[in-house]
Amino acid sequence: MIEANSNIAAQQAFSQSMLSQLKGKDALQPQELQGLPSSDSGESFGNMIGNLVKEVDDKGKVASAETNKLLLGETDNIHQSMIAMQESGLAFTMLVEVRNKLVQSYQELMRMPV
Amino acid sequence: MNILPGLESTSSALAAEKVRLDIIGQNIANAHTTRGLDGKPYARQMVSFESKLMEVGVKEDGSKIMTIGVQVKSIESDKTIGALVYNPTHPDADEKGYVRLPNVNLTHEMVDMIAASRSYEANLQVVRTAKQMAQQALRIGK
Amino acid sequence: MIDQILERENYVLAKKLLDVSHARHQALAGNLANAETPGYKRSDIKADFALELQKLASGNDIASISKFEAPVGVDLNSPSVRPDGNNVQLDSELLKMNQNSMQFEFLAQYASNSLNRIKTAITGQV
Repeated sequence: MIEANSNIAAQQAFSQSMLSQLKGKDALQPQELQGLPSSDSGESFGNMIGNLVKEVDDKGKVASAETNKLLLGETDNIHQSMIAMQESGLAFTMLVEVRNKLVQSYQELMRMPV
Repeated sequence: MNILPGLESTSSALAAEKVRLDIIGQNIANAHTTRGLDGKPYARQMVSFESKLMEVGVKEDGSKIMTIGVQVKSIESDKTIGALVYNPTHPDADEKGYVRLPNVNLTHEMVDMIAASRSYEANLQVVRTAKQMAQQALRIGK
Repeated sequence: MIDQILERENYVLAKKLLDVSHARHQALAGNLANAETPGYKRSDIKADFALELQKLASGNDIASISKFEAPVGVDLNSPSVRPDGNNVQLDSELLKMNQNSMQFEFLAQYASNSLNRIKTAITGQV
C-alpha cells in the first residue's frame, strides 16, 4: 500500500512537472498573433499575383507586336509570332488556373464549420 | 504579308531563268534563218545576269534586311561570224555561191537549255521547301 | 513567374536556332537564285557561329542567348568551279537546304512539345 501510494505520488509529481512545463509555453492569444513577423520570403502573396498579371500583360504585348510586324509585311518570321502567341496563351492559362484554385480554396474555407 | 521565307530572291530567279529559256528557244528556232529582220543572217542572242539587292523587311532599329536576287542585265547579240556553206542554188547565196549561216551551235544551245532548266527546277525546290517550313511553323503549339 | 518556367536553356536555344535556320534558308535561296550570275560568291551563316553559341550557352546568362543576332556572311572559302568566279554548286546548296529544312522542323517540334508539356502541367489535362 505504501508502495502504491508512493507510486501515485511519483506519478503526481511527474504530471505536475509536465504541467508546469506546458504552462511555461503559453498558448498564443489572438492579439499576440498580429505581432508575429511575416514570412521572410521577401514577397507577399498579393505581390506575387500582381507580378503574374503584369507578366501576362507583357507577354500579350510582345505577341501582338510580333503579329503586327508580320501583318504589315515588315518581317517574315511566322515562327516567332506563333511562339509568342503560344507563350502568352500559356501565361494566361496559368493566371486562370491560379484564380480557380484561389476561388476553390476560399469556398472550402467558407464551408468549414466554425 | 510575307509568310514564305526567301521568296523574293527565288521569284526573281524564276523570272530570270524563264527569260533565258525563252531566248534559248528563240535561238534554236532560228538556227537556220539565213535572212533575219535586218537582211543579215540571224545573230545568236545571249542573256547575261547580274545580282540585285532586294528588301525583305525592316529590323527594329529601322535598318532594312536585304537579300540578293538576280535580274537580267542585258540581252546581247553574239558578234561571232557564222559558218559559210557552199550552196549556189540557195536564194540567199552571194555572188560566189556561198551562204552564211547563223552562228547558232545547236549543241551549245541544248547544254545551255539543260543548265537553265536545272536551275529553274532548283528554284522550284526552294519554294517547296519554304512552304514546308512555313507549314511546320504554323503547327507550333497544336 | 511564367518567365522562370520558360527560360530553360534548351527551349531558349531552340527559339534562337529557329531564327538562325530561317536566316540560313534566305541566304541559301539567294545562293540558288544567283547560281548562274558571274562573279557571285555564296553567302551562309558564319563559320564561327557554333562556337559563339556554345560560349554563350556555357555562361549562365540565358537571356543573352535570345539577344544574339544570327550572323550571315559571305563565304569565300568555298572553291570556285566556274571560270567566271561563281562559287555556287547547285547540288551542295540543295543538300544544305534540305538539311536546314529538317533542322527547322525538328526545332519547331521541340518548341511545340515544350509548350504543350508546360500547358499540361498547368491545367492538368493532356
